[in-house]
Amino acid sequence: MNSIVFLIVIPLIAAFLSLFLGKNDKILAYIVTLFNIIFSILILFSGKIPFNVAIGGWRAPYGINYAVTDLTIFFLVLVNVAALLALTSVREIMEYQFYSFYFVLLSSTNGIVLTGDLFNFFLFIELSTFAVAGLISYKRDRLSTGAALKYLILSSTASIFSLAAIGLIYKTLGTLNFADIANKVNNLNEASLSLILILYISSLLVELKIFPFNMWVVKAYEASKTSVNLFIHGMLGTAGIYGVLRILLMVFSKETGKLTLSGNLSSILMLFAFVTVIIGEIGALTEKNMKKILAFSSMAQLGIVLFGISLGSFDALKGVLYIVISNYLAKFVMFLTVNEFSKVSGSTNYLDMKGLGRRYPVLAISFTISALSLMGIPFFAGFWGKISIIGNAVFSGKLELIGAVLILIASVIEGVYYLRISHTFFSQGHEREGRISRVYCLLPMILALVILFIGINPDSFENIISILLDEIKSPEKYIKLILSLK
Amino acid sequence: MVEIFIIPLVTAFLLAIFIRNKKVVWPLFLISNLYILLKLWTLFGKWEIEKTIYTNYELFGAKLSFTLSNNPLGWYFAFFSAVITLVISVFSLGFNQKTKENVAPIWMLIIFSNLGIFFAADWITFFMMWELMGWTSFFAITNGRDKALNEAKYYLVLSLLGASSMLIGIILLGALTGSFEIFASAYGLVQVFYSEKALSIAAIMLLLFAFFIKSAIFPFYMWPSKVYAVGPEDYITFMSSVMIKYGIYPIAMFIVPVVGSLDLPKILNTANWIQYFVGYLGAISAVLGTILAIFQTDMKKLFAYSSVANMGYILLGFASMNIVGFEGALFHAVNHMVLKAAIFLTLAAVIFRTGESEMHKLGGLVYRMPITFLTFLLGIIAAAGIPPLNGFGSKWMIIQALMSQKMIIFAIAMIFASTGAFMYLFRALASIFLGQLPDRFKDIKEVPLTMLIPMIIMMIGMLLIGVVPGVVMKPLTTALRAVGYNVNIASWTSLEGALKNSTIDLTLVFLIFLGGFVISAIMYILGNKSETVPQEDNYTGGEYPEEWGVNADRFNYSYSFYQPFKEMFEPLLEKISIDEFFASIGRNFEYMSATVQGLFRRGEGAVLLFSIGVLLLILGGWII
Amino acid sequence: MAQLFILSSISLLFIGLFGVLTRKNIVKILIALNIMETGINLLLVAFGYVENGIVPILTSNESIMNLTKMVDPVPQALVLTSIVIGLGTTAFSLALAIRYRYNHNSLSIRASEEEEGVNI
Repeated sequence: MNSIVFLIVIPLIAAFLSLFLGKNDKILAYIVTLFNIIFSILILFSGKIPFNVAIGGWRAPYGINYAVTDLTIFFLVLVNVAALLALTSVREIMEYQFYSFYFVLLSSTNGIVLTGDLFNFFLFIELSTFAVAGLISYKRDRLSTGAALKYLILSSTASIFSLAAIGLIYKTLGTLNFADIANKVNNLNEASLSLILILYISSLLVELKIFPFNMWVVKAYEASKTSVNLFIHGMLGTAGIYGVLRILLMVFSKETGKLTLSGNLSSILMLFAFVTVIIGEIGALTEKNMKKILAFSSMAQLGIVLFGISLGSFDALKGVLYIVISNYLAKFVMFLTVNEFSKVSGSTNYLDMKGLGRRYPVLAISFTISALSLMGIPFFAGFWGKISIIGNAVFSGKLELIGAVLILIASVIEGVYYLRISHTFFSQGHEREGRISRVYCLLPMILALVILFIGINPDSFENIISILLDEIKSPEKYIKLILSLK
Repeated sequence: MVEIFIIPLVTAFLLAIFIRNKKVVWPLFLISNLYILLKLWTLFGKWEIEKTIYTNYELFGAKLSFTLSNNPLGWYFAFFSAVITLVISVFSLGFNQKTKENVAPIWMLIIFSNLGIFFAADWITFFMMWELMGWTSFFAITNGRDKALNEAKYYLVLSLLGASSMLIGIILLGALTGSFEIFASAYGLVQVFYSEKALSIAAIMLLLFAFFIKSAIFPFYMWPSKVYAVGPEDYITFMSSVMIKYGIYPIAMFIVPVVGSLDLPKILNTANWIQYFVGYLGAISAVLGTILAIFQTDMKKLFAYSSVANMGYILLGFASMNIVGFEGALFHAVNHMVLKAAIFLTLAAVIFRTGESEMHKLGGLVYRMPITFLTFLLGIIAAAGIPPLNGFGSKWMIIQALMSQKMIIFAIAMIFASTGAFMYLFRALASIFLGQLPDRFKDIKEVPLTMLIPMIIMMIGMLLIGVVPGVVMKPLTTALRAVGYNVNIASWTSLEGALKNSTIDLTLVFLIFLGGFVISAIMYILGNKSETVPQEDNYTGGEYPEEWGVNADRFNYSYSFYQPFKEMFEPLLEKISIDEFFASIGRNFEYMSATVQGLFRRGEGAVLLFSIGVLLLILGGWII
Repeated sequence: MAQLFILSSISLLFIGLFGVLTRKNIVKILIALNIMETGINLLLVAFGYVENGIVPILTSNESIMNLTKMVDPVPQALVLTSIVIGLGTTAFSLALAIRYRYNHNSLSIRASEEEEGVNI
């Protein structure tokens, strides 16, 4: 099934085409994104998963291969659906640069999820860095150019570190293929594995917005248009989480599927994770700009994800997947709501949006549902994640216990500022002109209903998660798939 | 039994759709509550009903299941809270004519979680309902008005902290005993207590933390006064009578049986240290609540502290670990529901007509709102624990239990608080209803009929429970017997005490009081005719204050009512200011927030921090 | 010999890192970034170096005998890709820097610090 590369190639071709199409760029964007989604869903239902494609006929481990397994297809569908949903928030006419950068981002995030080779992964991350920097700076004003430039510099530095790690891997193990590295990783001694992992993790953590690597997040979120926020969050964020799951848990782990760094390294990761959570929540506490609040909150949620991953148990991984899906859906709803409300109220300060919830209760209720899910309140999707992670953390050790307590305190702080915003939406406001058409309220409502559904009935999602967890637990199947076929 | 849970959800949804149409919303609310009450009535005695929902979600290797079961103690709480809610919802029909915001859909969700909390059979369901109640009550308190935000934020932080502590406690409990079911985990905890002493005590303390926050026990007693002053008044009635009991119910269900089954060493040959711990917290709440209530000038805050004090009494009843004390505490829970609801309905009626909640700005309302006055009078007589109304029976039982267990200090505290209560209760009566009627209130009328009916029902209720305590005690003792306690089913009219040969026949007490009432009525009728004089003559002694340039209103003696008393206790209260402690924590978090924002504002230290991060990773990996 | 290469590339890396951390002018930062990229490319090539190795090109039928003496070609291929990525990044950053200069009237990276007050 060599045609899997269409997922990457078609958007790239479209990126070039969009230079010439002018006003029809938006239609082209919808067509290509729909093509991607339909293609991925066809793969999902074709029953051929898992399969392996060796690009150009060069067999792994000598050539690059794209392996589609359950984990891959799950994240692939998430990324493409995110692209489509985010496109719907693009309302005005954008110039051609926007769409060509968008296509590059689409193809590179698909590539991140599909690829099975470490250098290819690096390549696609670099591509996505470009595309995101271009998208951030689309507005071309003071804030945007500063934010984009700083993001670019930071990301380039981080990728140079990861390139050093790639070089080290090649020197010691002789291969750059995921499956082959997983096969041979037991031959490494502890010190070199630690060094490689430190260098590689540093660049991954920039994507994951973990403190202290996340200075770019707040400025970038504030400076870009809301649709770009959705792109970064939905496409790049999800691909980044896939990268961490695949690389940390399956490629570099010595035991099956658990995070087995040297003990101190995983403690430091855990420390970073819950420090990120605390800093994210505290930072958002007195913030008034909605976009900055959402940036801090994204930081904190990803901190919880990393905390769950570094706990090293499969129950906690289950919680991580719940938090991933809850954050994904919830942030979509929130960004879409902020998009609509800020158009009516004229600024992104939440105090200016007072009373808008009374006129548009569907949007405000969807926002409240998403906020409650992020806080981990029961009957919403985030609760299942929180209870798994906290439950596993309480008994694992002293540092984990402190982390769990801090995360609970952080969720209390989160409750304060989110419910304060909700309350502001529902309080009495003054009259405003400008209307939000009912169509735009539909999408947040559907996403909020999905959050509610997963929260009330976790069984629906549990089956999917157990399939994914089964795959993470058995990396030898992955290795066999890639190294033996064709 | 499932209908009991589906109806509130469906109603909440319908109420949310019709939220702008007041004529539909509040009658619908009333009908729902009526249905819930009828359904609960039919559930009495059917203790085996259970409904379990199984899920595939695995926690600690076992699949979770949510169980709702008709457990007797939960039924007892749920039934009586449904009665009170029905009466309040009749009141709400009239009360909400003029309000702009509509608290009904959120209130219905809280009623749903109410039933869920009382009927949950496993801790996870309990926790889910508890959290639901937490955030919905935030929205109910603020109800779209800005002035309520700060106080509601305080309450929200406390509530979320309590829920987090409960989560860790439940996880500990589940790990220690291997089960999340309430009864099974209680049994398991007793088995495991001696081998894992520290962890068991930690689990109990974490759970107690959450329950104390909800029931406003010291040191978390500040939130009722903040919240009750700013919420919508009919919802506040519900909150102060029903919701404050949410912490009491799990203590009765779980903590008391566990502590009772443990064989802890007794201190001073009277009680073990957990009993002393709970008892002292209860005693301090009772005394502190009473003292703080005496200082208040806002009537809602005053009765908020009164609620805190009453929760202290209930805790003292639990701490006695005596069956009479236990029954007395649970009886007092229902009594308090009735009398607090009556009092707060009265306050709501006063605010509805006058818009004032500061007591020294009111006065003399007895002439304009007589039935309200009568309800309030009966309410404070009940609150003070005077026969023949309902407060007497439960307080008597608790004091009996404390005395029989030789816990003298607690008995002294309770008697102090109980009699001291009369100081603030009378102050409220005198300031609001007696005294001089301000000119601007000359024309206010009594509240409309839909609001009078609930108050009359409450009056009848208080009298009924006071004379025939079996109305509450019979269900209570049946429920306790079904749970497994060895009690006799109470009779209709007499109460048993804990000391030897102490039984009270309340009908006899009532007849004595009735006799006294009749005699004084006869003396009043046969005495000299009374002469009506203008109000000012009573206290200006025939002079005209306008001659001196002052207004008659200024002489209303209810401002700074208890000034000497306040001066006496001021130094004590300044030293231990819990409020200041929590406020300073909040302020510190806000400073930290500004610092963090400043850190992220610059953005070009990015690479520097990145390098520091890598260095930290290297250090962590190699050196530590 | 390989040690010399690795040592020099790591020193280039640190020189570049020092430049990125301490310089304020954006163009200088970009140049330092380029130095870092050069360093890392050199490191990659040095990892593939074999002592006294020959070029990894099959010139005649017998070259296959000298397989083990050939320098590793894979890192060289990786480096080609990496150079192109570096080229793209630099070009794009310079374009952004021009726009940055136009907006802030200065090429200092501290210039965008005074943005508070513009946007709440």
